[in-house]
Amino acid sequence: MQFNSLIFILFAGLFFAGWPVLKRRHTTRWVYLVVASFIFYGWWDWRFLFLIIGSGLIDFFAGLAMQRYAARRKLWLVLSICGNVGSLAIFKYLDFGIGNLNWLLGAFGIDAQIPATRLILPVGISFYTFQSMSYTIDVYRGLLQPTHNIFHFFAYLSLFPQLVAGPIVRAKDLLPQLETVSEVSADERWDGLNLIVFGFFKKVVVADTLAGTVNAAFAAPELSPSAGYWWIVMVMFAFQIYCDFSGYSDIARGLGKWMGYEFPVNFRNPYIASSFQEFWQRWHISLSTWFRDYVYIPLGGSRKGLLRNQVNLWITMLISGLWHGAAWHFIFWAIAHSFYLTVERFTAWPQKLMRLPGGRHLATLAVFVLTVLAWVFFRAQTFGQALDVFRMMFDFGNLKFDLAYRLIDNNARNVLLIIIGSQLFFHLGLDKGQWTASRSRPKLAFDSVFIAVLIVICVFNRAPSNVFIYFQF
Amino acid sequence: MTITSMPSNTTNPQPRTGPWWANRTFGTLVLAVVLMFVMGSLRPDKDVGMYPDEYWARKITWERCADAVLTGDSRVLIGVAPQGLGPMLPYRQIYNFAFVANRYSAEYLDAAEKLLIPESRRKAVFIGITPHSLTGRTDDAMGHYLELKKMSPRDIYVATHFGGLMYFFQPMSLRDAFHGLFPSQAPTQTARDYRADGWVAVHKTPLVRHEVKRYRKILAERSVSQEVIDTVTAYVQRWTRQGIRVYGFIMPSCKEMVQVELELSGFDPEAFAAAFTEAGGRWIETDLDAYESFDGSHLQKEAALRFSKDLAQAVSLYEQETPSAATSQAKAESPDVSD
Repeated sequence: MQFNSLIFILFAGLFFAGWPVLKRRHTTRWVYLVVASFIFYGWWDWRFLFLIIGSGLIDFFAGLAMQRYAARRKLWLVLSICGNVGSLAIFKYLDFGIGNLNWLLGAFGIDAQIPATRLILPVGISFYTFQSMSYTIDVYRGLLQPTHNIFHFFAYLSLFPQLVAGPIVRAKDLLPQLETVSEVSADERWDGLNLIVFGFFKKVVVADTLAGTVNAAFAAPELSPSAGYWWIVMVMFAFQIYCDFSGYSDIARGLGKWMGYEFPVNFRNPYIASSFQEFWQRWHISLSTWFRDYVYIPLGGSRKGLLRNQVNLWITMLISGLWHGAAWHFIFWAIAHSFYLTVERFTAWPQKLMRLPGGRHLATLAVFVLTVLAWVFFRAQTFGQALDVFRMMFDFGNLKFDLAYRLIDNNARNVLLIIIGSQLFFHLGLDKGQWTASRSRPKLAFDSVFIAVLIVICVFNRAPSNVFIYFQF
Repeated sequence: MTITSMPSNTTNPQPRTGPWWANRTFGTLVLAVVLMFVMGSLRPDKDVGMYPDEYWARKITWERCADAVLTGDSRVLIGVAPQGLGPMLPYRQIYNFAFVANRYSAEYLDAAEKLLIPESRRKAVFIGITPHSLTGRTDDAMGHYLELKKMSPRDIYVATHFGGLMYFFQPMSLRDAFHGLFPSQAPTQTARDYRADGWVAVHKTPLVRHEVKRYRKILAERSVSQEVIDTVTAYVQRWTRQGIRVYGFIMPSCKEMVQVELELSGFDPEAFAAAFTEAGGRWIETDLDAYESFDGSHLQKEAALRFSKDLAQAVSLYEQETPSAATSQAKAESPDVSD
């Protein structure tokens, strides 16, 4: 079930009604979490449950086997990784592979059309598979003692707030939390409410409103011939995907806080980054750190010279691109970012630019514009469409802002202005002002009224519902 | 605090003890609920009858409930009232099975047929024609019927049982709330009544002709499809052979709309009526601009009732005739069914 649905509101209401009572005993708590999470996940399609159960069982028993047969730890790790990567390969990448193989055979004049399997992609498979793999890898590395309680393990693997779209929580961070029962303080309740409300606002007001314009632009049979229009659409998409994804993470973290659990921060205003290295420290942090710890560093990281460092970086980024989807345009998106990072590494242009007056603002703007260009590959339905969009964007003879004004919905324009305003607010450091940190009574009252009004806006000014973008990954 | 300020690492001072109802989170939620009720109650166009979501969820699942079925697009949905037809016609259960932006397709006509009670001795299908309903289906404009057909049983359950809640929380703008607070400032006043028999009665003021312009644009891009006409006539033929009476008529709108449709849609009313009659249907001539329309396309509630009565009168003339051969055949095929 989706967070932005009536059924989830009812589900969450029931869950939190039972939580204070049922969380007191370990096994009861874990069973409650597993049952609730399976209902949450099975609501999409109950058949998906078999996959998560199968994937979880492999890792649970692999963890136990690693402890019991320590001499063969590597074998159990390989089995676990094969199980996880295998399920991803079958459900996510098989048809992509078949399509490319058919193309390759055709290029050699062999007409052997291997039929596609057309398997349904289970929601959030990439998220929970990675989460599950982190468990066995950490047990293998001795960073974590395997749990002997299967409900404890499945409570970790399937915990519903972050199950389908992150943040990806490591076993060593969450399993110990699940073992404790902490009373939720008033501060945590308030922080949780803030996160949930801002998360919903980002999703149902900002992302869904922008989605209308962006989807219409990409679904049109013929792309509108206006450079101005396409630049606005792509800036809208940049904020749509950010608000969609970080909104989900915020809601997940807020629900976690209400349960007494802490999930890692997944986004830190990525569009105010002044370099690409900083961007990747602010964007989808839980995935970036996962790749850093389980792919980049094991490959050698930056320890084996500059050239090898760049090779490792490109490998990690390309896998990250593939993680997002089995299509070439995701790979090109990853290539674009790898290229940005490599150029940045060799030229140090952001640092040089920042030495100039106003250089920080220019660096931030440059990183944002280049990120927007990379998003074209991410959003386009095909590589060909991405090239068409680039052609439109750089056809500066056809800016046609009047056409853009006519094509773009009023609400989307207003929402774009609000989000750009909020980015400037953070970029200029206004969030660190005295008023923001104030603990005076008027400030507390203002915050309460502000959050209450934001809830009303989320309810009555929400745009037509869209599925969270990252569910498909 | 703004939209991207996530207060994850900052906590505000809160008393760690004290009653749960006195804490700030609870107080804020209570305030939000109060504001929501204020906002929700300010909705300017308060619909009556069934809740819209419940209405559509029930309508899409109708089966074996009618002796007579009205089919068509939004003009039929809003313009033909079963309660206006009922008193003059010998059908006990008449249902309006029309949908917004609907196009005639085999899938839709099959669904309309399923509404008929198999045991009923007198069965009829009313086919309300608009040129738009005879245009071909495109991916970007599937029509409301096909959209509703995609609803899962769970969605239907939620819409049926929580329709009131969903209606209350329907999106609305601050401008809407302002107009709800000061109705005299609202540019239009609309009252919709979602009836259990499928009719949506609409009363809207002031009267405008906005739809004429919209249809001019739509019909410039889309014209009537011969394939759709053939589908309709094939069903007319099939139904009349089964003993079901099939009535066809063009839905009234306004003079300007009639002109636009004749100019742009490629619809030939006379040829269509001839094909319809040849297939076994009974064609009713209607006065296309004699009824009040609130937007140039759809009939005002009172006009819809008047049109329905006029339609019923025309149909009743046919109904008073000696039972047709088809009806006799149907009787012969099912001699044991009682009225």
